[in-house]
Amino acid sequence: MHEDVWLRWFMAGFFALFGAGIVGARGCFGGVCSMVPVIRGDEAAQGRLHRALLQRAEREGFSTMLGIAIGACGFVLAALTAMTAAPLTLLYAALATALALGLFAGYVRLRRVGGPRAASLRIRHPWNVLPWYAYAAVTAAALLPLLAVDRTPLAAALVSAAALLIVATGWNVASLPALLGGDDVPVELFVDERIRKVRVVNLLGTSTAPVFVFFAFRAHWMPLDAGAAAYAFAVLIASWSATSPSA
Amino acid sequence: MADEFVVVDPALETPPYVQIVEQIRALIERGVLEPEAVLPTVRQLAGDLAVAPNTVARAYADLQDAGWIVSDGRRGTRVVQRVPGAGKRERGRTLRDAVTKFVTSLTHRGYTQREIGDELRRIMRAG
Repeated sequence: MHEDVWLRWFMAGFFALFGAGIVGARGCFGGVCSMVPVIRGDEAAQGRLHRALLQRAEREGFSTMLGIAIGACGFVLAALTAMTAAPLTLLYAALATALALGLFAGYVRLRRVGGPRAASLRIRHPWNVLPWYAYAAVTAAALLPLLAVDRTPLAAALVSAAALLIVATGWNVASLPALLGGDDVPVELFVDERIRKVRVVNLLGTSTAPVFVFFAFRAHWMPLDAGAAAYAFAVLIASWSATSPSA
Repeated sequence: MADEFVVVDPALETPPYVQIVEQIRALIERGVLEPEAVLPTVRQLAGDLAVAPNTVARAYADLQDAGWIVSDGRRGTRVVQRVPGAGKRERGRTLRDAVTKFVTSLTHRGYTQREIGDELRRIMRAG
């Protein structure tokens, strides 16, 4: 298998940047304040929104250890890429697996958030966050690497499993209990719905990234036959369309 | 829709399932929850309130026994079409029962009736 030297160094840099980015973001599922749009021209409403967001961010907190753990995976993979001849697809699959496990651990941490709780009597379902075909499309996309098991079976299986785990995490985040403190329930409910949607869209969108990169790697050495390539392309386009924020 | 919500305060002496029963009943009485309104599943409400599913199941069972809600497997749990005891006398009795429970609970915590009365008046004046 011929691998260009520049590609190997590019991937080493990518893995290191990934590690630094995750450590900087202190894990997964942070930054709730940037997920809710600013209400312009209504200072009272903006004040209520700001308070609800700060409370939410405080309750959720950050997981520095989780960020360091996933970030360390990125640095280790960067070193392995630069210093060994391990196949790039396998190293990338390892990164995708670390990311998927990190996102799942972030979800478990969110699920354990405590404190006073209120509940809306509105019925909630993952279909309310994104339509069913978005979940279906990304699940189909997650299975695409299995089309390529002929050449890189372990990497294909790892990427597929990682993508499926990210999709499952997205589904679970869509089904998470609402995190309402009871101080200003209508605003807290708005914030909860908004954050939930942004997170699910991000997760489902993220699940397609390892698949896309995996195919890009594979095409570098051995293009798929035309039928399989067209199928993979169609499923990825459907996944991106279905998980676009306006869907 | 905005104020259709329930809060459970673990610091209160009133058991959580009774808190849920009383709040849902109050929402139905006030007309916030309309007849035929569908309630969330036991699992959703328990998750949101961070209580055991049995707590919500017991609250729903009590509400169902009292004729406030009806459970129908496929259609979920709904508010009944004709709400029981919506008459003036029944409303008065419900209020008396709730206030008695509230005062008893505070008395057990060492507050005098005078303190409770003064505080209630202060809160009512403040609106």
